[in-house]
Amino acid sequence: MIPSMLAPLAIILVLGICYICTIAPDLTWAHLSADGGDLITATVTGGVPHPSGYPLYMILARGFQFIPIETLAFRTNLFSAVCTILTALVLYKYLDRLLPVSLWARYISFITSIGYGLAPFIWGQALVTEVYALHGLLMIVCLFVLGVNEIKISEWLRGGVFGLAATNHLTSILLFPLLAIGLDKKPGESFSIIFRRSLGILSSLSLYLLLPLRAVGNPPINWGNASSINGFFWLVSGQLYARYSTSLSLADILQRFRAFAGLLLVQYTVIGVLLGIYGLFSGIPRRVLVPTVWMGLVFLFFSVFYGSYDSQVNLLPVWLVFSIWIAYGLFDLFSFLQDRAKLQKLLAPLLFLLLMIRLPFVYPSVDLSKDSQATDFIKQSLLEIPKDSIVFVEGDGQIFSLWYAQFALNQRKDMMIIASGLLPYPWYLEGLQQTYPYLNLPEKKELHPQDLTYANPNRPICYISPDRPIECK
Amino acid sequence: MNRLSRFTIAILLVGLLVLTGAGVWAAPRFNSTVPHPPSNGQGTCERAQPIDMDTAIFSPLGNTCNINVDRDAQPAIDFAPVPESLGFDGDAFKVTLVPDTEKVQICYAYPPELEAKDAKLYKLDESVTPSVWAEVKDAVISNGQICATNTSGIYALIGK
Repeated sequence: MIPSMLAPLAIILVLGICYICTIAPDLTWAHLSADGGDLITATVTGGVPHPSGYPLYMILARGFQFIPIETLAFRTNLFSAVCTILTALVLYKYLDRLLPVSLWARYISFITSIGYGLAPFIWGQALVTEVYALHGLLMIVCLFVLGVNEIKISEWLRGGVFGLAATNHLTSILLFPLLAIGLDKKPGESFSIIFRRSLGILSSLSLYLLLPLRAVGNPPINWGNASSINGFFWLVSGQLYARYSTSLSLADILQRFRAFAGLLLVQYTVIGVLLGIYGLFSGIPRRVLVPTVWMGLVFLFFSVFYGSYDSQVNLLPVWLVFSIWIAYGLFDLFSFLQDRAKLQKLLAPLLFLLLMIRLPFVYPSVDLSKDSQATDFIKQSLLEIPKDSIVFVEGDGQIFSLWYAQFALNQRKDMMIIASGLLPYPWYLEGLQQTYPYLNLPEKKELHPQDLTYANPNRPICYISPDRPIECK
Repeated sequence: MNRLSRFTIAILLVGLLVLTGAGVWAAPRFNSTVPHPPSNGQGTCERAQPIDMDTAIFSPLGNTCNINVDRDAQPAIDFAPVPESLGFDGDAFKVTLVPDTEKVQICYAYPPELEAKDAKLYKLDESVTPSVWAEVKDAVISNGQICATNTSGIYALIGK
């Protein structure tokens, strides 16, 4: 039906055009990407971003930052677009290998991969700096190495892929049990296989040792100061956010389940959701069914119960596995129509047409080509903040944008940016003193903004928070 | 499972999703990447642990009591506007002591800029309608703090 190279090329072309037309040209807060400024700045300055440190992301994104085009933030956004296209390609290959051989399997793989890449949430994450596009890529690679038997790789490497996923996003450790579950009609893998896979995981996790090495250089973004043992474990364990897992009320949790249902329909439309649920019950082989159901459930529950304001980004693997179920639903539908060749031939272009018809509706909701909220904020702030000011900042987007301006773009080196919410942490105070040697830090166990104001009486003081306009005194 | 059964299940589940799928993702705004200063603090007299709200510290003084402190970022809207020609200097705090006969020491940070604005500690007088801000006369300024001992109520720093 489709020559083997045509589908991947078409995927690259369709998604590439859509992403390039809508990608954020500079720093953005859109699509839950307020952390982008932290990630870009830590990457370019050799620093360590917020927990869990994201060492794999730091290495790979840095490669894109060297491309001599457009703004630094654009180049880092581009990394997300490339990761999402690669995810769609691996998804295509995964389905092409696993769907039973038939005339339509390759076409269904192609349509599903395009559909995944154009789902609003996935598309949105392809346009901004965040770790989730890479997370999606690593998730499909995990499914690939578990599900596709034809590719002979060592058990060590299989475990290594899962470990690598955990060096990008800590939640990937929720998938480790899959390496012990037997996927070929046996209840569990042998001890020898589990042992080799565990070694692979450990080898990959050693990438986290990059963080202390980066921290030793005292970069301006140095969360946790991982050069000490305590700082290292504080960082990689995500201790800072541990309380978020129990911070939601029952009403919030129920509201999130309802919101999830709505989001699912937004991603794939009623037709897609119908096909996905139908596909889930359509005799999916165990080596696909077990990992996808596991991945879908653990990430759904994690997203719903984890109390961070942006935890819905953790649903990305759920959208991924749902697209696989859609492929199986489509395959069953085509199999049902195998004696009706005319209907099959009608249905095939209709599916592609449906995707294309949806494009103009999704496009405006994801388009960031003219987004300037974050850069406007930076411009306005740098304009209003007097020389040599101490600037107390609250809000992720606001703090990270100013870090981006000062540390990544080397603008306004005279001002001293203080993240008020980080003042209780000794590693932050140490970092502040190294970054701003002229800042007078009182020797107190717990510092408050007023202490700093008091200790630096000759400097103008500014306050910035998401709720109020910039206020300088 | 035959196709009809699968299709029926899928239709039913999609129907359920369509009917229930509504509302926005519950997103507690304080659970962000950079922690926010606390918006609420609780304690007891027995623990004698001051409640540190970043810009003010509340120390319960009784022997047996519970204390709850809530930060309010828009006191002019939530409680009462400031007296003419004055302005709020920072957030207001609602202090609730149980039993309400107990007392609490309230200490606001008082850097030089507040001194220059002649900022004073105010308590919301809720005995009149509408409520008005009344200066706490016995507040003492020393060592970069303005402190007073008082009962449950809503407190704010107000200056020129």
